Amino acid sequence: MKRLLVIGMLVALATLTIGAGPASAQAPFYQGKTMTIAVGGGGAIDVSARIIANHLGKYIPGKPGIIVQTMPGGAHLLATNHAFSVAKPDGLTLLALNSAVGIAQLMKVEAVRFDLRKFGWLGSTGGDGVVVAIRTDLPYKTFDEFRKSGKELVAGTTGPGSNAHDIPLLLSEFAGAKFRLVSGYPANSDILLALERKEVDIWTATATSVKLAVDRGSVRAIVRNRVPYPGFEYLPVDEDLATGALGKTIMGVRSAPSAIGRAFAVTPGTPVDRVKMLQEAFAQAMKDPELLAEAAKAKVPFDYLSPETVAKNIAALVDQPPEIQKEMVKYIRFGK
Amino acid sequence: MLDALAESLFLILQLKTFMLMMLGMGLGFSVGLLPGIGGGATMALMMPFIFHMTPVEAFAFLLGMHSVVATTGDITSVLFGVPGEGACAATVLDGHPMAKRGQAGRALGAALMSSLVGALIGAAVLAVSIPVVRPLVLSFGSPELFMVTMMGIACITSLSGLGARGQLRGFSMGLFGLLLSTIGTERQSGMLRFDMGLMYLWEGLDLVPFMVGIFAVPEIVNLAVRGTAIAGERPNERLRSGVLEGIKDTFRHFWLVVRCSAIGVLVGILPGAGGGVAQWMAYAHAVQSATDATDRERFGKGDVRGVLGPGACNNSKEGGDLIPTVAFGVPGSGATAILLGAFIIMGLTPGPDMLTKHLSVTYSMVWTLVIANIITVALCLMTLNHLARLTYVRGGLIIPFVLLLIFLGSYTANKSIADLLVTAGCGLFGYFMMRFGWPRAPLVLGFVLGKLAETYLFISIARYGFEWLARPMVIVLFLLTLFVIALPYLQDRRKRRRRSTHAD
Repeated sequence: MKRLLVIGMLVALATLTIGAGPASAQAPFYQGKTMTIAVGGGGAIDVSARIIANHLGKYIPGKPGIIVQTMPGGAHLLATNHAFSVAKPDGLTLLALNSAVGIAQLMKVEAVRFDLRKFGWLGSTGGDGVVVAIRTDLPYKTFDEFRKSGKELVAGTTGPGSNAHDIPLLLSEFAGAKFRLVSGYPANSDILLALERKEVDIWTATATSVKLAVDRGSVRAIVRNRVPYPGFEYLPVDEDLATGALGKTIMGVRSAPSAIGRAFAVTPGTPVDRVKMLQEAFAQAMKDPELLAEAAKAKVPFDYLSPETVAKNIAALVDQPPEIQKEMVKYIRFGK
Repeated sequence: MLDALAESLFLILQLKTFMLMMLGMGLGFSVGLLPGIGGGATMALMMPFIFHMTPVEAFAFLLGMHSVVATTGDITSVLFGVPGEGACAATVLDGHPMAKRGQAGRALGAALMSSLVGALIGAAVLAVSIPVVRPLVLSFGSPELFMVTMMGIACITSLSGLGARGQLRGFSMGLFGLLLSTIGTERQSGMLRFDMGLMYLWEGLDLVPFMVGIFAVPEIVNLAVRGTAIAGERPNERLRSGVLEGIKDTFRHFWLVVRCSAIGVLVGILPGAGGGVAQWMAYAHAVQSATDATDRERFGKGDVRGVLGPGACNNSKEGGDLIPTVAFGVPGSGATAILLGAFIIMGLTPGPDMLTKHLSVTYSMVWTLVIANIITVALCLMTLNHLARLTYVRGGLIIPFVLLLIFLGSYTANKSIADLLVTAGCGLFGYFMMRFGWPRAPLVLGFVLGKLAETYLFISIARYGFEWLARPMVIVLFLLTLFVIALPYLQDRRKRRRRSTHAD
């Protein structure tokens, strides 16, 4: 938060020192410039943005410097609004998207001042599935075993809009599971802690986070969404567990953000040739062995998704017929 | 365990690691002195540099910076009444009045020496408690954490004036603080409260502009109104002996320093509580140590014990803070939240592994805290005399600089114009509070604890109904809370009884 000023001063300094020399007419646009990646908060998206910032510049003619600027506020809406309309469409500002803001657009949240369909997409560093996990000391080995038992389990959540909240909610509404939601935990790590002290029984999060906890032996995975994750392919998909068509559809739409994953974009209206060049640079950077090594070390699995795939997934999320939108509003709310 | 402790010491003392730690400390120095620009901001800024370091090097670099910030933050609290860090606000209460009385050197000496003792105790507790820390933290469920926040709120009795009037004022301010903490997104339902249509308020009022406004701005206004130097027209104290006196004070009240360090560690260990709370509990404890009501009235007017308590606590809590971060991945404060990002980049997962497989990394953090603090205090003690002289510089020369720093620091919170408005608004409010004798500490305490109290109360009821009230730990904590509330009245009665025996 407070880092912003200091970062801002560094940007100013960097532009002053690097950008001081007169650029000749033939010099590439990016020579001597500094690009900014706006990101709305910490976690895997922030780490991806930092890793991309370390390597993307190498593949852009003129080798610009790239910095990451954290813009907390409004559960990533602020950063997204900024990249959509405040930043200049010159290709110097990138957005590291938190795809959950797509839900906000779909729910017509008042503070949304963007249309995800209009961004210039560069690609994504990979989708991330969502996995439901339960405590290992509970007697249920699978979701079906639990559902048949007719017992109730307590789900810890960080509030409506989070994976931890929405997925168990939909499974209770549409798949016959009895989950009692206890919401209000400040973050995922607090739910994990509550899980260890047996305050809650189930926890839902991105496959990457759940994988770490499974490897440690603290939880057992039982359900996943449609986005597969290495090691979790065998789990039943939530949509297949739904007992009716409506539930299946809503669960499908709710999975769309995780298919988009950690995507990067430029402000709408950026010159087409510049967007194209950035798209190519992004694709190349995603093959960089050093970048992949950093991602592997951070345990954030990088898996390149093309700009077309991202745009397609965005449309699949945002373009909903009004009747589905109306049904969704009953169950899903936008939150952090 | 001893092997790991020794091994990690050698890891830290390797040339490259040590140099990186020194570099981090250098950065910490420059940042800690700037009000509001806290360790969290700097740590975020340093993140890009750690990609090519080993875990031990990276944590030496980051924690070296971090542990300096808590120490140097006390300096501006004492000199200008401007908390250099969110966690240094309690030092203002007695530290700054001491500076106004011309005892800046003594206050600084006391703050730094108690910081050192606090840091050493914090690190020692961290090192010793590692084998038992997981069961300890796990024994605190949401109901117990709620009771701890209640105990914190009960400290208001000690943070406000004596007598019905003082207590009433203290509690109304505490309640107002609780109310302010409800601004923003409610955690349970995701509803927005009092957001006034502003996205700025979605995540609540930010602590930095709020605290800096409440504490720093009124002091500056006051200084401008008086038109003198901070220390007024007082004769120049013999500064060198002043610092020495402060160091001696630390040992004169050694048990108080130890107890306040313990408070810092214990509150730090609890996930989510953080340094914002610990300092006030330590200050309240220092006030409770007063022998009677007359003794108590010295607090807030420049009693060295009011500097020693929070000084020790806000460094010892660094050791405590690391425990939930390292062992559970639950950050204890803003800066440790950013430290978690460093864990990810290093490919380490906070959790049981850190206490077994990567134990040497964990211990290297303990050593960093120890070594960095010793070096900082030694360096600071050499320069304190010059710093203390600032309190004799004419106010007109000091005010523009400090005002600039205050607003710069606030602006870094969200980089929004609204940060400046909040600072100015809180500053005005704080000025009138000071002017009309309303205590400011309960307001801040209520604000800091409000969100925690609400979260844990809601979870306790949603999870356990009302059964949680019968949990043994909850009952113990409840009785302790009652004791904390009753303490000032007991002290008052004891004094009266003593007086009546004297009269006989």
